[in-house]
Amino acid sequence: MIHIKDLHASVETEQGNIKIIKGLDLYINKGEIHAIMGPNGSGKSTLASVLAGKEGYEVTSGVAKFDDKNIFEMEPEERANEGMFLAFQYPIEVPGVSNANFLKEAVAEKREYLGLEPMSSRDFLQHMRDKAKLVKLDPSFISRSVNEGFSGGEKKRNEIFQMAVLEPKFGILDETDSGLDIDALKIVADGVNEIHNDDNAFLVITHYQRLLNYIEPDFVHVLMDGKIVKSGGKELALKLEEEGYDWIKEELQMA
Amino acid sequence: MQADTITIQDQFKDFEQSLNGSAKTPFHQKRLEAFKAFERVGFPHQKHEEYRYLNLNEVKNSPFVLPTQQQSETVNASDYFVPELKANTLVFIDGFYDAEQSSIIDKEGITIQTIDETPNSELENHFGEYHFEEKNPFAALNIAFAKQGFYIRIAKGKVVELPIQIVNINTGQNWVQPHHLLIAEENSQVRVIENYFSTTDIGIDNTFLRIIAHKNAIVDHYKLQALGENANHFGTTHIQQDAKSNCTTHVYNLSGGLIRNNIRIDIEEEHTEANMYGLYVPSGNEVVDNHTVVNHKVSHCESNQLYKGVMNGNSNAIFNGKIYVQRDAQQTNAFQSNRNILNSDNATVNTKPQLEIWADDVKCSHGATIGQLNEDEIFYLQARGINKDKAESMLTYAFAGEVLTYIKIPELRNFLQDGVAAKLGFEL
Repeated sequence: MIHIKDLHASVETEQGNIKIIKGLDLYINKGEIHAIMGPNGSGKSTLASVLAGKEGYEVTSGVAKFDDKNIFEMEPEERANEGMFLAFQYPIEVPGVSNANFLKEAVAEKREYLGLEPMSSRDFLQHMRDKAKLVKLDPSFISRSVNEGFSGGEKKRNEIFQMAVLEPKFGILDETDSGLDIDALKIVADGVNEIHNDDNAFLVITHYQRLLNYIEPDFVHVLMDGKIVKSGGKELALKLEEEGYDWIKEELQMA
Repeated sequence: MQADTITIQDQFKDFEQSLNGSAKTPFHQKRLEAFKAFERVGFPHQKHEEYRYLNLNEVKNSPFVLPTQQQSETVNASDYFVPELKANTLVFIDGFYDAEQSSIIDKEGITIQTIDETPNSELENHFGEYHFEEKNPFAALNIAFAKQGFYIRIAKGKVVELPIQIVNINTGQNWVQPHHLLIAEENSQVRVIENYFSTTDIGIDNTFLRIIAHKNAIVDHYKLQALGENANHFGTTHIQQDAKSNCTTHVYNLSGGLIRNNIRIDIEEEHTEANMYGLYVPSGNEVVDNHTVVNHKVSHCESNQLYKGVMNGNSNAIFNGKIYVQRDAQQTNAFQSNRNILNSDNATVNTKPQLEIWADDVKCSHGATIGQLNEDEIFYLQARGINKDKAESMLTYAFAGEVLTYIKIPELRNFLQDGVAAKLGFEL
């Protein structure tokens, strides 16, 4: 489903372009959950931004395909409508735009893009209510402005709610666990597990192993200095949690 | 300039003669004073501090002729009413009252009559009391020729359920000058909507509304301008507030060639609250200028102000917000915010917050911003599948729509939401 080969990307800063991703390979199949861990500054969030198409990031070489379509030839909204979803590390507040209008527009655009009939207002409302229940989001949030005045935990839950409503094929969670207490973490993880099925896939970017107790990954990758340097099963995450990243650095130096 | 002055003076003489006997009343003395005040300044040029960004050449050079005849047969006023709104409606066409198309439903506790039929004794204390000095020659000009307009008095303790809707329609005439007075007696409540429309592209309005809110009165004032693309509008709203009164003004500039509003609130007694909201969405070559004054004369009062603008095309907006906190106005809370989005490289905003504070124990703040839409917000919407153009128009409408949330009359809010969305090219 996702096929990333020898990806190089840089970020534009006032000091000029800085190379962050330096030859990254990643293959994700339908039904799989992959986790990416890595120390600060290793390029985890940059990868998420590059895949979602955020301005200010430049792909200098390499390819990324989503169901055999070149991601980098698509606008951010086309990527979303093809079925990609980025749960933001820092969800944006959009004053004056209600969650309901925001998602109604998003669902309408997606259905139009896919050549589907528009959803009736009634069906859409029911769809939203069902999904709100799924992520234990108070229905009053639906009519409130997107993320405005939400706590950190509420914002993250709202991301998962949006994901549930939009039913993506490929979801990227960019440090969704950061700043969440254990109860909120469980709610978010339960939401992801409810959405996950044999036809979709997830990429979970995280700093800590704890989230992976609740969202069990099929593969864990270690990202260091813009490359995936080690891959393994979920036991790799436990080892990283206990021992940190130094042993990997040593391994790399020896090799 | 010389020729114009003579024309106006001739007009004023003709006007006085048309008044017959009533030209001798004290009421008329106010007109004379106002005319003298106008003559001292004339139409302001751009060296005048208060008119720096306004080019009034077109107005100055057009002949000063007052409309003499109403065109009401040609206008169906109900086309301009706020849809679905049950209201006490007063219709003015080219500044002339149209009784046939008006409907006053509430009668008890409300006096509504033309200033012509109002006894001098009632008008005397309220009419023409305005600080027109050099700053607002348009108000002086309005008062000098004041004849058409309404005197509205809300009796003590009366809560007027239905809003009073004053619908002003200009059929392309110059110098349409309605003059209205609204007096809210102690502990009364009233909502008044002042709407201005054009049936053509042209015309000049020069309007005046004075509101006096006595002790504990609550007055909500709404002014909507949806005028022709070459129409000029000069408008003065002057509010005086007594103790514990609560007044709110809203100004919505939907369209018009050149619009200048002077909104002034004088806080005369303690524990009053004053709110000012405004939204302008000019495009094309439209020019819109809002000058506001909140004058805190006494202690323990609060004022809040929010004006927002979205600029498109070659439009030009001016915001000048003065807050005076006089020496005795201790414990004043006064806040002001003016926020603008420039959607075009060719549009201009000149914003000038102006606080003059003479008291030392006050909380005052002001902020002015001019910017573009937030890129992070646009990306967030795109990342959910909404295309960039649509994302931008959603965010622009959301920015403007904030001001509309303060409208307490749902029918008017819906009407304005539609109007603003249409102007900004956003489908609700």
